[in-house]
Amino acid sequence: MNKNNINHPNGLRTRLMRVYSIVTILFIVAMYVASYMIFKTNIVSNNETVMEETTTQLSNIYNTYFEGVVNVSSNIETKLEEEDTYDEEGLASYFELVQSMKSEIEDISLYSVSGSLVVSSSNDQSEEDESGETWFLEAANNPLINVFSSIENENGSYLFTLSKYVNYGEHSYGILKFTLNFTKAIATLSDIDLGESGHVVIYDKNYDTVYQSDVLTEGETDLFQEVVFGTENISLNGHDYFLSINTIDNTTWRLAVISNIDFIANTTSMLLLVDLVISVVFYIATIASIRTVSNQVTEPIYKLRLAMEEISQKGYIDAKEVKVQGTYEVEDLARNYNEMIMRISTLMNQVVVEQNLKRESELSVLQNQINPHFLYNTLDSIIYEINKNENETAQNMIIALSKLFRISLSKGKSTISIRDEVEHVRNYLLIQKMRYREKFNFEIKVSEDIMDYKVTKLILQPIAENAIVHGIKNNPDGGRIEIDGSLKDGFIVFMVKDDGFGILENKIQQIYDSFHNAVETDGVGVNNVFQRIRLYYGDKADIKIESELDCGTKVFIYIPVEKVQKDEN
Amino acid sequence: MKIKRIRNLLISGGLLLTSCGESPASFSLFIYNSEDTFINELKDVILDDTGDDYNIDIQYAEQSQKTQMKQITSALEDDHQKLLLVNMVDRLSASAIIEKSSVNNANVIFFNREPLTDDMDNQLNAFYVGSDNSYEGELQAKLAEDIFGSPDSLNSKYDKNGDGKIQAIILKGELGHQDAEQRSTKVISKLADDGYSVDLLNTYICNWSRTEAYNMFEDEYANFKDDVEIIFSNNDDMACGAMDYLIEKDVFKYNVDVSEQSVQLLGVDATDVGCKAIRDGYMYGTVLNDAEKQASAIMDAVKYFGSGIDMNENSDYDIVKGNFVYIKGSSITYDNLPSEYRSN
Repeated sequence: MNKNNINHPNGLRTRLMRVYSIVTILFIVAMYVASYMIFKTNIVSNNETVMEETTTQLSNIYNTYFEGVVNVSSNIETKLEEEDTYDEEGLASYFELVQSMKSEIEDISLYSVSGSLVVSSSNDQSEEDESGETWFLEAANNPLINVFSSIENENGSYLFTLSKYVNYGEHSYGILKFTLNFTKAIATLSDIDLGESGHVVIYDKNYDTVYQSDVLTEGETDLFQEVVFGTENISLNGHDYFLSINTIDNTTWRLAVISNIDFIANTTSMLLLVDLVISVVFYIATIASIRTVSNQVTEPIYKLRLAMEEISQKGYIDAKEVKVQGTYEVEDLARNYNEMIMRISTLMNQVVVEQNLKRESELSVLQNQINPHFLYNTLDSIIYEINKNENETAQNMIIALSKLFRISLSKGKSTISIRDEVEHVRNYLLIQKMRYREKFNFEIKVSEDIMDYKVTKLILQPIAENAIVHGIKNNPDGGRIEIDGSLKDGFIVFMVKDDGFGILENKIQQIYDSFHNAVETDGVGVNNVFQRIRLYYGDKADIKIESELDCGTKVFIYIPVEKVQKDEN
Repeated sequence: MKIKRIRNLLISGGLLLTSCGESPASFSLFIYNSEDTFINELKDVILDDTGDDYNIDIQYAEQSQKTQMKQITSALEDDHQKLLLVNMVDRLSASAIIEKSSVNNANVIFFNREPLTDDMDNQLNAFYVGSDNSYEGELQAKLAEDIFGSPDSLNSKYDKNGDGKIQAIILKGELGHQDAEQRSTKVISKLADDGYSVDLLNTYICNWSRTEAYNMFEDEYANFKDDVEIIFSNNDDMACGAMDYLIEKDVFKYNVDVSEQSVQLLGVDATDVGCKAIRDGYMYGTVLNDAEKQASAIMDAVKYFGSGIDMNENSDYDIVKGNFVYIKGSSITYDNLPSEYRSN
């Protein structure tokens, strides 16, 4: 009875919520994991592809740069080797020509093994002994390779030198030195987006920095030493970076490109956040809709249940319609319930009314049974006969009267066998015949096979009484009454026929009308019979009147045989 | 610098201890270019020598050091290879390769392309096997001496202008490649040392390639065709490129003794194409860059890194500078061609 029933642990709502919570949560978790993994894998591999392209691009730029520089150096070296003799003038103009063609070359100079300047493309080269310089010594010690110095920033220009041990003229050896400008190659950096604090480092094989686009973070060099070359995702100072290291062709240098990939973590956590919000909203929406839908089922059911409880306490008579709103099924259920309750209620009321009517009609039958008027008329007739010494007639009358009353009362039962009913009407007619001095005759022909059916009592006597009163009593020629009874087409049919004046058509209609409206007419007896057979045997039971003026009247009583009980004896 | 060295020593030392007794079932072979004839022969010999004892993963860099670096990174980090045989594109990348191998507890054997001595110094996880290029240069010079005869009176058949000097061009493999540099330098200096005067008309860089040598001849032949008496090529492929052009221009005569050719041609490597050129009378001689011996030294190094077997036992080569092996070649002419080239 308390409202908590809706939230009963085994209730529909709770079950639905439990099941759907589990399903929803599983679904959300699966979605979460799947989308996270797919997203993460994709973004990481996409990023790696992009980053590798970027670093490839960068290292290609540098490779091309150094290849170009080394080619120039090689060409000059070849040229120097080829010449048998050299003249300083010619060489100087050749150097100047080469320098003018290659914008990154600032200066080309040739030094002898002793360190003195032989020839230079510019005039500002020192005439001093250079044999102690690093570039000089390294080139002299590694005759086959190009020696690169580290890159120095001078007045905004990034400069470095390439030195190479060469053979010039016949059996003369020396060092060829190029001063090279790296500024343009560095400028290409600004075209490449490496993200916040992303940078590029060029360092030699001893991890001494040659060039750095930004100040190095502590520990960065250690990472370079761990990776050596290749790619790696790294963390520095709370930032995520993609590190890619390549060697630069023709040099012993290495290029490290460090690009910021914080966006991966950021987008990933953004995805997780969005996922979370969507999940929560989805979950709430699911639970809310389950609640609504389950309410549409459970609340009407709960209302119906309350209504039923009320009925069980107060009975069907005052049952009211239950108004519910919910799913189609529950509304349909409620509609049917209401129909059923209303029908029960109607039937109950009908039963009550019928019971009342039956009691009333039985009461009037009882009144008829002891109709004092009939009784003292008959007693008067008996006294009259006795005075006339017609003792036999008197005796017969008394016997008939006695039988009549015994059947009338019949121990208070409301139904009697047709045999008794026929006996009752016979005694009644006998008494009346004697009272009216043999003024009429009667004949009763009831088929033997209906004799044992039990019918509501005293249905023939009122009809016979009408026949005497209206058909015989005022007829100077007397008359004749016939009573038939037989089984016909599923009906027990009685016919009471007289040969009196007959009844006018409109009079018959009045009688019929009186059956259905409580209009008082002369045919009180017929109406009473009609009401009782209707009460006992339903709508199929009927009374029909056929009349022909001056010929007589036939009254038929129809009783559906299926409604009639048969006497067991 | 010092700290770095010590670190490498420590790593390599630890590595040797762990790798002793456990033979690597596999190694990776990195080759700078799939079209180099000599390297392919060397590779085939290595494959024959290893037989079914090793799983060998072969990767070609096609002239890109960057590609090779990617292949090495993948072999070390993804496949966890513990032994690399590397034929570098750019010899200057050796230090990075050695360092990367150290970090990944792997050993590396360089071959054919020589790392800088400085980069190999004290590196216990690295080894180099190659040819003795200076000696090859000397052998090539000796072949030239056989052709021209005494330095005082050059054979007039080949000293076409009779000036007593040898007019030569050099087909150089690659600028900065130690093989090319040493072969080119030595052939000239040996001749000079032996009293010949050589007039080096030009040095042409043809990147070890037959096609490039042919193209170079198309472009440049006119500049030296009247003067050139002998062509020194750093390898047989480039010599054959020159031969292709000279046959096309009818400079080389068909089906004659090589002594009848107006220009003499010398190669290095004694590859299949080189030997056929000698057989057919186009090339005077070549220097055997002994793939068999190199492969066998490489396999010794593989076994050394695998199971610590001492390399100096039963070997006819010396280990110099701690981890360098130079295999000496021998000269080949028509008279001592391998038997398979003599049958027809």
